[in-house]
Amino acid sequence: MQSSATPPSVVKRLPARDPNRTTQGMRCIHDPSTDKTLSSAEKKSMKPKYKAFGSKDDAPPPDPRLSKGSWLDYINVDFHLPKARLRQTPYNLKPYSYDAATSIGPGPPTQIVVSGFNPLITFSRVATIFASYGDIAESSNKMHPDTGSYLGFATFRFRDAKQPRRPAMSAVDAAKKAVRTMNGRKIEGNHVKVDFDRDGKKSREMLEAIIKKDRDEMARAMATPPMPVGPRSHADSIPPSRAQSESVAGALLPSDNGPPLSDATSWSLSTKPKPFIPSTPSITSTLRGEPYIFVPDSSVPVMATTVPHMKKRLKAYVIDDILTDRMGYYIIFPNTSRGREDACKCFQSANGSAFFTYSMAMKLHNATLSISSQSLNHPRSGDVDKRPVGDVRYRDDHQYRPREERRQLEDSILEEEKKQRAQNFDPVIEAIEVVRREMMEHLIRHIRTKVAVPALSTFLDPANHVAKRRKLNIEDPSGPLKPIISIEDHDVSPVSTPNSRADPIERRTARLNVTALPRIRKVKGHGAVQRNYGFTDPFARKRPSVVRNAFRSLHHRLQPPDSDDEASEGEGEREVRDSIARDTEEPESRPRSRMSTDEDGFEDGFGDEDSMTEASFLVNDGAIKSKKRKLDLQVEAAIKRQKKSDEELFGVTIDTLEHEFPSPTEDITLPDATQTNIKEPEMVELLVPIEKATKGKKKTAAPKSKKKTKKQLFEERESLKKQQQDAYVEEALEQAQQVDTSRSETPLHKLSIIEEPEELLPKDDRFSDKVVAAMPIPPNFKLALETIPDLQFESKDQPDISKLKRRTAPSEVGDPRLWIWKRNRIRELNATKETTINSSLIIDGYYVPNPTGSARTEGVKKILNSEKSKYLPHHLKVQKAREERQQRAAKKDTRDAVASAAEAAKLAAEKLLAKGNSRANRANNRRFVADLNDQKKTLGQDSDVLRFNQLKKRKKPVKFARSAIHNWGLYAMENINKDDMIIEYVGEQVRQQISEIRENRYLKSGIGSSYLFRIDDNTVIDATKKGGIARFINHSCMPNCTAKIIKVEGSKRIVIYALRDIAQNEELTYDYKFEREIGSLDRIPCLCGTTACKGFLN
Amino acid sequence: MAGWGLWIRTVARGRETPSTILHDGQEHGESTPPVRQPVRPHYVPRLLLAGHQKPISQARISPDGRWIASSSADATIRIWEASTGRHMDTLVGHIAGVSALAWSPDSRTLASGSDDKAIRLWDRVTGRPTKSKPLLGHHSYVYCLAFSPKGNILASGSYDEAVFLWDVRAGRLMRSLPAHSDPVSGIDFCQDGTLVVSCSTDGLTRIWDTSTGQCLRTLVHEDNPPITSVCFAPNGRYVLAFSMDSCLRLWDYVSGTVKKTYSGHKNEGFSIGGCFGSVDGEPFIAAPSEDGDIVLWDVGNKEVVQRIKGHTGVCFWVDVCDDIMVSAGQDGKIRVYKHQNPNAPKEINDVAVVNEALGDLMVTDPPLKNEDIKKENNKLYQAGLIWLN
Repeated sequence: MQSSATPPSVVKRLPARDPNRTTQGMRCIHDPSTDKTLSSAEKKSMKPKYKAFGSKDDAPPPDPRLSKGSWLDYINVDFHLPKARLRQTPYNLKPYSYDAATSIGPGPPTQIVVSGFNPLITFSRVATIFASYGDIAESSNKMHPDTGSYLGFATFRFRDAKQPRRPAMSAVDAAKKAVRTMNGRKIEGNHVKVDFDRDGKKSREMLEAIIKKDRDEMARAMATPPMPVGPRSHADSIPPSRAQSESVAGALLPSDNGPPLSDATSWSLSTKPKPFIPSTPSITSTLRGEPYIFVPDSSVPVMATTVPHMKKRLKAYVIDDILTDRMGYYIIFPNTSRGREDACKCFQSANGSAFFTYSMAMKLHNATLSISSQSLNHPRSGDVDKRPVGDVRYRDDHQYRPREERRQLEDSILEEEKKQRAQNFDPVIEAIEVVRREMMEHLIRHIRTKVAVPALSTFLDPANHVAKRRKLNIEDPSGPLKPIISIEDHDVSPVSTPNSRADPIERRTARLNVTALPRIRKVKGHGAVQRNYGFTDPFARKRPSVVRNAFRSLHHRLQPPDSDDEASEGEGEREVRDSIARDTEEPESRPRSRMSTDEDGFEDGFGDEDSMTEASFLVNDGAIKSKKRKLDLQVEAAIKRQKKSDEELFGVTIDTLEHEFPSPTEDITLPDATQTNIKEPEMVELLVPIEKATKGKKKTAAPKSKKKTKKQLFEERESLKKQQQDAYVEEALEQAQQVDTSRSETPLHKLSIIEEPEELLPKDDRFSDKVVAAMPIPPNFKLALETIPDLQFESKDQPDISKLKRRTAPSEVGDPRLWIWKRNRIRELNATKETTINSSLIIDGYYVPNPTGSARTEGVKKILNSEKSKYLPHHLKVQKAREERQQRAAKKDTRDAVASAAEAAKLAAEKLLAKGNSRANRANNRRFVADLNDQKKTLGQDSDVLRFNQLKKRKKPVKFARSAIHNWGLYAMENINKDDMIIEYVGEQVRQQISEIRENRYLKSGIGSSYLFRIDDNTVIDATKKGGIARFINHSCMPNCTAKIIKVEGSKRIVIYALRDIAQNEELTYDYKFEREIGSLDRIPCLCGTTACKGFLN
Repeated sequence: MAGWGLWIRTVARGRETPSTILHDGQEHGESTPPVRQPVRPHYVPRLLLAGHQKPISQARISPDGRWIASSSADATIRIWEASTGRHMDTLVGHIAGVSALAWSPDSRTLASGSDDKAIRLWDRVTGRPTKSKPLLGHHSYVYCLAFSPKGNILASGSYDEAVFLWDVRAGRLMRSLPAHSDPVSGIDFCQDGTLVVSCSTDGLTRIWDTSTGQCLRTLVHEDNPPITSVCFAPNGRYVLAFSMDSCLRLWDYVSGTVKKTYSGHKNEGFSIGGCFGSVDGEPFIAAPSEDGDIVLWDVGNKEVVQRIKGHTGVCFWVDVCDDIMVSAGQDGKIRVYKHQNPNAPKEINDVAVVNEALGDLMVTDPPLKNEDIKKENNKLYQAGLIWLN
């Protein structure tokens, strides 16, 4: 039980029982009553014996298996894996690696914080050091918030490396690696600490620690120098105020203490540059009579930036202006009763309310308030005590940390706004506001662009005033026409290419007046100018661009802004850009239902459609101006009119706020004469384009049902116009329709039977007027067999059989209907694309119809090789190769075909290498043979086992496969060099006479091939039934092998050698050298397919 | 009667039984040792199915025994109901005569190989091809077809000396075996589908491994007669080769030796094929003959146990399934025979009436008058099923 030898290493174990404890209890070790060895008398007399336990550590000994290297290790539980060892218990489980799908918790950190490096070195050096561990997603060199100086610690966040060149490195691993390696190392002479920093907490803590340290220092520095001019009555309250230093509760300061305080503040402020310059020394003088609310500087520090925020805050009230003084803010209300009321309301509501971190202590002036005095007094009395609370602090903050304060201010402003919004949050109201705003914008813009501008421009169009000019003898303006804002610029002539989406742009640019292009100036403050090289303002934030509503005067739209004022220019540009953006966005912003049709229109993609879609309408709006030809205008007008008529025809009217301005020509309040004039040529032109491109028109005719997005202008105008135009347009449409239908009919006719010409058509050269016979049979008329079943045969339709028999040779068809059905069925199942109705079905390849119908019913016949070559694939291949060679030879024509072919083969063979015949192999073989011979000698006899065909060692790897020459052939599996021995022709060695007998027998039994190979006059090798695979080598008139007879170990052997270099997978052939039996009837044809083929084997 | 479609009453010439047939249960006089009884098939002509216009190359019974399919040189295949002889369908679609036919093991698909180098798979129920495109790939006439017992592989032998193995479901060629140097005349699968045997007019019978395409065995007889058909024995151990020296040879392909040779029929010029059958559990071999007869042998003792005359002209194919035997003839007719237990009390003489539930065959001694035949023919012509001269 106990191990004889102490185990090599006993694991130190805790004692099972507390060694300090005393005896736990007693245990009976001998009970006489149960002891069988005692006699009954003894039993009665003896007493049980007890023993105390617990004092000794009598826990069981440690399990020697648990100790490493125990001699019990040899115990194997797994007999199949001898190396298995009993494991230590408990296991040391590897902790689960983090798996995003299953693990709880945020996962291992990917961010590290590096601290301790010299802040003055360039950060990029540090960054590169850490970039070597993995891809850095972001790095942040922490800066002091107030001074902007680097603090000497930074965070790096890694990301999963995705480069293909390196193995993927996950972010987690990169972070681990970085921490492991860099912690404690030196960067430029300073020891750095690298640590994980999940979520950036550590760096934040560090930052805060530093800030706190700084603040404490400052506080201490501040505390020592006493306030030079403190509040007279509150010097003693300053210490307690410091205790509440961090509170930013409202400090309501009355105004009367304001000035002296502000003096103090201003005095202390004088050490620092003033944040702003007060506009007037004293505003109160300027304000006379106007109600105003004064918010002293002490309650809210006076800064220019807070003014707009304050305005916003108080926007519910109609404020005239907010002026600032170094004393405070003056919120001025208009000098009306309403203004006064507003002022009171404002005062009542906003007084004392929180304004970011401050609270506004207001004082109402020049406005009577019912409880004004009280409200005034109350805060005042209350304030006095509270005054010092935040006062000193604010001043301090303000003095020493303007930037931080500003940031806090910004934050608080946002907070405020958020709170305000949250309070007023009613989605319905907000939505209404939004919609209302947008609609107003749209409306105004549209009025401007679609109504006013075109009207003006067309009115100003010099063309319209020709008459007047003539009258006044003013010469025509020579310059380019005033650029007209075209609303709909689209492809004018329908003849244009279908891809008019590109075309209009081209057209526009082609005819564009360069000066009319909008000047796109760089907006200062955005883009490249913004980037300050060298200094990045970490706290700078992009101000949201100011969105202007359409409350500007017209001139801004008609002319590019030419003021040099940066602000207005920027705004103008922005506005222009916005408007451009808005315009081009407009198609999308339109109700989608309309747009869907437009998209359909896009799909068709034909000229007219495209041009009339919304996008092309509006791209021009306001931004791109183009010239328009008169013709374009007119045609466009025509097309638009057609559109409108379409709409009217189908009763599509859209009542929306959005208006569409019809063609400029229509709104001109010119005398009717000109209008009709314009109309006339338009009609002509309308016809012309219609006729010219029927296809295009077809398309427009077809989607008549599609609703194009149309915006109607004032209804009365529209209807007027329509009435005028209806007649014209109807006519035009009808004509278009007619043209279309008639045009479409003609292609449908398959037969060349010409129907009666249409009466309705106008005279058109395309149709002939002459009358042609109704049913002339064209010369290539053929009976359509497929139509026969549909013909209703009557008795009189039956042909006269006798006549037919005389005319044509009858053939047995049987029931014609069945015959036709069968034929159709076969055709339908077998027809490919090429078979036409009447062509017969062909069977691919070589086909000889069997006279009895099927091959099996034919019977078995011998098929000649020549016949086989016609359809057997491998035969065909050889033939084709031969033909190609012949063609090539014929092309060359200079040299002998045979010689050239031989040369070509040689060239091909020369390129090849051969392996397997190295000196080493030969040496090995020789050694093997010598060894065998030695063994033979020792054995003393020529036993079968040791009989070894030496020639086998020299055999080349060859394989047999189907051959084109004949049935089976031998192919080289690797390249063979010239004059290499390939294989031995092995077979039965028979005498000459036997071979003759056999030959006859084989011939009789039908074995066409001869496998008898003559060694010498008396012996023949017969490989017909027993032999090596060399028997598969075929004959060729241009062989690549030759047979030689060599003597090996005393006997003659037939060996095949290579005549030239043989390529891999080339068939081995040699010249059989049969006797030429010229006159014999039964000559064996040679299928070698070479150019020098003699045609027969024998 | 019209509803029975195409059968024509015929005269039974009385079945000629070889002297050894003991159809009445009589034993031979000799004392026979208690060896197994020689098989006693007793096939009686039952139906004559006409319809094809040209010689019929093959007639096959479906594996479930209910249908007979016949392929003919007129490029059609007809399906008949085996029990009644009713003509079910004519499958039209080949451009040239059909030489080969094979049923799939589930009797739902029929494969036909034709001279137009195409193999078509037909659905028996609808009568239309299962795929619009046939299996193309052979370079010459398709001569023989066989389905594997699982129905997934179709083996086809063709005049272009190759054996093609097709994947039926995919409809494409799986493997092409360069099997022979002459047209492949017969092909068969063994019962588990692992071996394919193919025979050719070059005299070779080759056994292939289906999965690898390796040739496992070549069985050649000394004289090298062309082999016209081949089939596996039901126990899968032997291969029966029909050769054109009017002999049938039973090969043990493992050893490569001929175990039995059967003769008694004529096979000199045409490619004929037969099969194994069994009666009362005893196997027999049925082979057609070029003189129009069908000859049945006992497998064991190589004796002819029945000889049935019937066809005029060459009989190309015989197929046996359970107790139905069908034969295809050059005369364009299909004869259906049914095996009758000789112990049945029916006596068949020259004049006999066989009463059965369906398919009563009226046998009349004086043959039908010409007019009656003409009337029958007219009726059939109206139905569009036969053609009149």
